[in-house]
Amino acid sequence: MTIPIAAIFLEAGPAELWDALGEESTREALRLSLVTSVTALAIILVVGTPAAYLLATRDFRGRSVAMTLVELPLVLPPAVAGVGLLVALGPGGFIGGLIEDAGVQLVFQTAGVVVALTFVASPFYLRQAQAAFEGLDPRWLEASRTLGASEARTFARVAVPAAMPGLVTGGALAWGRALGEFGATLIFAGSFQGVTQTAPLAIANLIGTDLTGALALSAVLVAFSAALLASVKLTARGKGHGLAVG
Amino acid sequence: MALLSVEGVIQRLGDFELGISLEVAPATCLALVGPSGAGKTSLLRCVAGLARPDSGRIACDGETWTDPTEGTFLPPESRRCGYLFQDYALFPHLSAWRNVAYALGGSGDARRTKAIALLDRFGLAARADARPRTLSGGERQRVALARALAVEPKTLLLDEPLSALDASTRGRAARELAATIESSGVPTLFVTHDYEEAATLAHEIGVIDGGLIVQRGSAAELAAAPGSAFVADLVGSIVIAGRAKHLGDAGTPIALEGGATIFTTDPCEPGEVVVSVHPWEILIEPPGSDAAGSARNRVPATVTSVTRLGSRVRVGLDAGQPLAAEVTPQAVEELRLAPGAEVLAVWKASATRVVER
Repeated sequence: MTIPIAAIFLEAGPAELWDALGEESTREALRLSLVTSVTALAIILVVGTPAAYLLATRDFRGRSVAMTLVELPLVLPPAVAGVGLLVALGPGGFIGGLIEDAGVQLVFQTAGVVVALTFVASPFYLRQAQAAFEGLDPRWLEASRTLGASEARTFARVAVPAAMPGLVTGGALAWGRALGEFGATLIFAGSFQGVTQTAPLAIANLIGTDLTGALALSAVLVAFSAALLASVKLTARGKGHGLAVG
Repeated sequence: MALLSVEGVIQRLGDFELGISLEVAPATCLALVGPSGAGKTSLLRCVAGLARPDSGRIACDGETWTDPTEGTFLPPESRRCGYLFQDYALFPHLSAWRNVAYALGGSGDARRTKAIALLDRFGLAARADARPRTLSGGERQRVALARALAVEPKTLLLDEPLSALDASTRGRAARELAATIESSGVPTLFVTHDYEEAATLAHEIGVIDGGLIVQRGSAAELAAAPGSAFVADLVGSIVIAGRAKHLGDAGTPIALEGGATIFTTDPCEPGEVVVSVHPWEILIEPPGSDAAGSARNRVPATVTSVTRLGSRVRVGLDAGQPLAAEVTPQAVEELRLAPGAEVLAVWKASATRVVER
């Protein structure tokens, strides 16, 4: 499992990799990846946390259908997701017209990258967050209500803090998925340097002409993924809130 | 007048229906006792506003909390119920004092001071910064109690308040809980499957069977006159079945299933009956001994078990039906009571209660 990862670092020397990162195009790709993935993550957290809480605590008709739809992007080939986004949100798409009338351009724009990342990465967060909320003892939430807290306050003061380790894990997974996103972005937003060319797209672009540059970007992504994984493991170990009891 | 009243509350739980009417006066504690799954917790949840009954009215302190016919439903956060959950439901991510302060208004230092004062009432000020998982069972129970009192409750709702505690801490917890109920001055409703817990803490006990309160009274009233075999079983007296014959001059003879005939001073119709006797009313004599005293019921039995309960010994007997007697350790020694020994179980006709079957 480690051979391909080791190979990335062994193929070229550290100095060469470092130099390659100095290139304007590489730096731009990394910056764009960071900006779009953080923006997508923010959207996922703000919208996804209450949504996951409702899915976990409410029993409503169509709940299982809603859950299946939420998880669909997990098994959808990214290229198909890109085609779907293009048909729905692109010019002439059935929502795309409305968006265009509002003066927003998504296709081949940075905003389009954010949309693609959000679409593809959100289920990773929603699944984890929903499981974390389901793992809470429902009596904690009920106790909060009897102690004078409204539903919204119960969500903010009890549910979110008590589910925090699971939420952090889900956020890290979604962020990791967003950073590595390739297919949906390529089809929906294209690969324009400085506008939509994120690090994975830049790697694909460089691989034929500048192997060292591709390797340097790959090394950065590997290092970042490893750091994310390590932080997930650390929160999992430090989650001694007695959550397992719930 | 801070009366808690529950009128005709009906809650369907699967194929089972709970139908409860009760009133609890201020500074009084009513315990509802019944087996697990009898819908006791559902009733508390309805009172607290955590569940909606299918019908019925709940009111407290002159304020209607739930009334489906009027469409009234006060949300739980507006009811100010001091709800003590079965395993206390302390917030795991908050320290003891922050758990208590959760319901307190104000800010900063005043809030902390108030929370610690409440913890101090239960001798827990020193544990204010501890997380729930580092507290013992008894400490958790007291933090939860302090937290429930922080809402300045209009009623206290206790769900099996002592059952999560081990035997060594139960005594102290029970005394503290009794004192808290006493000093709070509000109506207290608590549910438990443990009759002893109810008898220790409550002024009055309601026995729940099949979703209904089948008998309500003080612990002494229930023990002296259990209204049914279910109640008699619950309060700890033994229950035996037999067939009553016509009244004679020495009371009503009852032919027990298993052979012997006993007498009761209770009036009853001829036919199938159940009689109850408190184990401490039953004496044990050597087999074949003559009637010396006034006890008219003399039933041959075989000892099946000998169990020491503190200063008493409970002797299990088989007289065709299970019986039990409570005797002193000296009696066990003198009569050489051991499983297999043949004895006579002896008790008075006047200690024999006839109850509904």
